[in-house]
Amino acid sequence: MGNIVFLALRLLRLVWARIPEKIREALLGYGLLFPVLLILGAFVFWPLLEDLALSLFHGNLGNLFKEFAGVANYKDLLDDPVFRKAITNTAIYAAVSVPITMMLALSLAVLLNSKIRLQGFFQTSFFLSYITPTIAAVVVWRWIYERDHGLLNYYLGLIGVHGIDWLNSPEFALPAVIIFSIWKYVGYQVVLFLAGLQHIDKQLYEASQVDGASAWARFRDITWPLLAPTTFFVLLVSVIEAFKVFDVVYALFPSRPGGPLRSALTAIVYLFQTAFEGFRLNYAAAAAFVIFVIIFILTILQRRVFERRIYYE
Amino acid sequence: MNSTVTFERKLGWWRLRFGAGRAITYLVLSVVALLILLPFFWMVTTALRAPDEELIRFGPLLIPRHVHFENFVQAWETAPFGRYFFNSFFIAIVTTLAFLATSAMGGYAFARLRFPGQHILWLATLGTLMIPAEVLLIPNFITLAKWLHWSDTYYALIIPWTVSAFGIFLMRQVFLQQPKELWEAARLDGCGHLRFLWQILLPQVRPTFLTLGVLKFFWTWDMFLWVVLFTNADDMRTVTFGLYRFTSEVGTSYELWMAASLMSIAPIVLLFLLVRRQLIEGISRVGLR
Repeated sequence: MGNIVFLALRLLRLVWARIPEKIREALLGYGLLFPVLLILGAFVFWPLLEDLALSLFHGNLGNLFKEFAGVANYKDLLDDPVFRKAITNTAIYAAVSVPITMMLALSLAVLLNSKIRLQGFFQTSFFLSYITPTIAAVVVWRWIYERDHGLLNYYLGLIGVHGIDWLNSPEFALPAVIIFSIWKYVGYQVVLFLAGLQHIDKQLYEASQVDGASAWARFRDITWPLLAPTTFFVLLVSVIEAFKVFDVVYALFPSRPGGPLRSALTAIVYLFQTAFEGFRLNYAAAAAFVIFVIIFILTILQRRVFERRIYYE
Repeated sequence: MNSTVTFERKLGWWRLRFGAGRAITYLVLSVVALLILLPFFWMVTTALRAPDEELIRFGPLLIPRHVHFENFVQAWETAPFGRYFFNSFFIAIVTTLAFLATSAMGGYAFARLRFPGQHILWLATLGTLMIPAEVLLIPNFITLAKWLHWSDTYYALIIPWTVSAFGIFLMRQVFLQQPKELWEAARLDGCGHLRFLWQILLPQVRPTFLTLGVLKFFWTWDMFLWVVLFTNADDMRTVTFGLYRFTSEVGTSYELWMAASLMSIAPIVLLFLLVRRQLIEGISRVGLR
């Protein structure tokens, strides 16, 4: 048995050696890419087409392609107040959390970029919240946000603010999600900004220091313009991440994903509920396609910047 | 003479300002570090308190009066965390290894080989970067659950995540940065493509390769939506999903929640502390997820 395998392998090697090199290289290329194309085909390209097809039909769990609906699902979506609420919430979440996180991260990165000790310690502590698994972090924050004994209200009580019901009042649900995400992502952005800052030529700062420029002038005239590619890149990555938010919202309000009165309902949570709790798969497929188009536009912007950035380096 | 005095005075003023600036820098950084670390601190102190015990104030911090390790035992016994950990480790390790393999293979094919149709395949691969997995939930659910009947199997949780355009893109980048002479020298010695990739190229790009692997491990451990969708059986749950269900099943006993959370993040935090320098450097180099 061992002999046969051995002989077969030898034969294969002989045959392989006789194939012209160009063809061998091509065969090897297709061979290496086979698993990649198989998985991407089955779980990205095919689903994209299937999603589009589903969205053009009316159907149910038993028969998803029951009758052709044209753009009826899309028309219904435009009039659906819950969908509009989900998109609005997501946009608000992105518009508030992303700039705050970025300003904070940029300031911290600038501070870290000066000659200071413990740089490694600070970076590690900031990064710890990013690396912590989301659900475990959310569980801690549910305790922090608790109304009567929660730690956030305890500390707010010390400065005279009492009884905010973070997780059960419609006004505070989305802010609770935003505060969490700032805590979670600021450290990651610090690392990205710091990398950008370290690419800036130190001599520029030395020259301006000799000229007597103030710290603010140095930031305005050197750091900010030269950091622009990094900033724009971080901005777009974060906005896209914000549009995909799911875990936090789902786990922060476990009894009613989407928060009290849907005040923290975001796009992907809406998608999940419509498809897998309401079982309106065709309708949800249309919603998914709309969300995809929104993210796609943001991603194209991001890629453009990204390619330019690689070009520079 | 006069100008020297002015210069001296200016220098002293600069030193003072610089010193004050430094103090403020350290203060701000420490306060932010404290704010970021506080939830971890509370996780530990709450996990160690007795049920319903009020924490006592210690400066700005809250600490328990006595230390109770029973919470960990009780949490571990309330839900099959051993099984959850096995699932998480198994899924994360297998997914990461397969992902590294496909990333290296794909990256090599696009960086070093030439074959017909390569450009179109490259564009198609890159194109998937623009399609987030979240919006493909519904058709993927139909494929995996309805056609393949893979609900409650490891296949559903592993196989779709073994390939990502990001990994291939990144590996192609670093392969292209390696000098061409490496391959020419290797070929003269009669080395084939696969052996060249495995024995020469991969060791060359090890830092990036390992960073990619560690990140993938973290992301896989963090996976939630997919696990919610494809697991019903308790013994298929991962730590992440198990912890989520645990909090609804035990009610609001926060000391148990915190004990369970602490257990669930322990492997990740330990791994992070072990590789933190390389990881942060790697992310600085790579730049994104």
